[in-house]
Amino acid sequence: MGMLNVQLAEGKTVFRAAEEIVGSVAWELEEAAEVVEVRLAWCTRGKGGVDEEVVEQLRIATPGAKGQASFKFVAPRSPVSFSGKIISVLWSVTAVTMPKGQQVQMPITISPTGKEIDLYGPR
Amino acid sequence: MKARENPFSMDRVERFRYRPLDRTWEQIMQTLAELEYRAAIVGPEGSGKSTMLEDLRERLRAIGLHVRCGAVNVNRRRMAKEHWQAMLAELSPRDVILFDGADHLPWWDWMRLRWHARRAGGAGGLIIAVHREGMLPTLLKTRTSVQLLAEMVTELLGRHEPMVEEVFEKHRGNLREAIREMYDWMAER
Repeated sequence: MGMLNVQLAEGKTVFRAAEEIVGSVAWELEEAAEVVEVRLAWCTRGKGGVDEEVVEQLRIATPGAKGQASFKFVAPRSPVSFSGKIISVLWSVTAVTMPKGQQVQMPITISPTGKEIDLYGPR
Repeated sequence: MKARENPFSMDRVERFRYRPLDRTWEQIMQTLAELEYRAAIVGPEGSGKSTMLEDLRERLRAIGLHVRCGAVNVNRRRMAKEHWQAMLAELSPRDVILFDGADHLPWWDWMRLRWHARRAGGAGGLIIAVHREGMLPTLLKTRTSVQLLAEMVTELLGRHEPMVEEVFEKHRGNLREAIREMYDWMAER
């Protein structure tokens, strides 16, 4: 399978709106990839169907079999990371190789409070 | 329990693929070829018809056929014009249309769908998922069992859950509704 890794600067995984999400992606693959993509995306989890949206992405063309690159995204205002009983919104930075589709996902939190909004947590 | 932690969340449930109860996939694909890829998957709500159509999509592609998809349901009996056009445009003998909920289509739309699929000829065809027999030759009837639900719940939950039998009976074998009830039960914990 080879190695594919996402690292966020200073190990930071919680962001407020407009804050920069900075990190790097590194890969050492068995075969050269045609493209490596790094995506900032959210998705839903819960009782209903899955919704998801890639809000920003970095496309690395001709990445070869081994390399690394830096990325910088800006955390959007919404949707914020939250969880209730029916639905959760989860954010992540994901790196994907193409055409093989190998991927690695780094969960992150985007929230004005600095942590996931818990709709049923202590108030 | 938070939605993202619920073992019965939809993303986890959707990982389950159709499990034929009394036939192998090889037998199903053989029958489908004998029916010239014009066939119906018949079964009640929540018995796996849509899941089986999804699984067929990959298996048909694997044998070199081109798959086009359409769907309606009891709440949305018409498909957008653009979707119809894309689905029916330049059908070739190697195209197969998979249509979920064909028994909800207005009569005229069903006639149009059948006509286009037949006109394509060759190995191409039309496979539908419906609640009743008679629209096309029946490929198989989907059905569920309490054992099937128990297997799913055990895999999702990581342990046997005794309430499975009661939930199965309550929803008359509708696995989708049974799983949704299990979701609610976990959400309250």
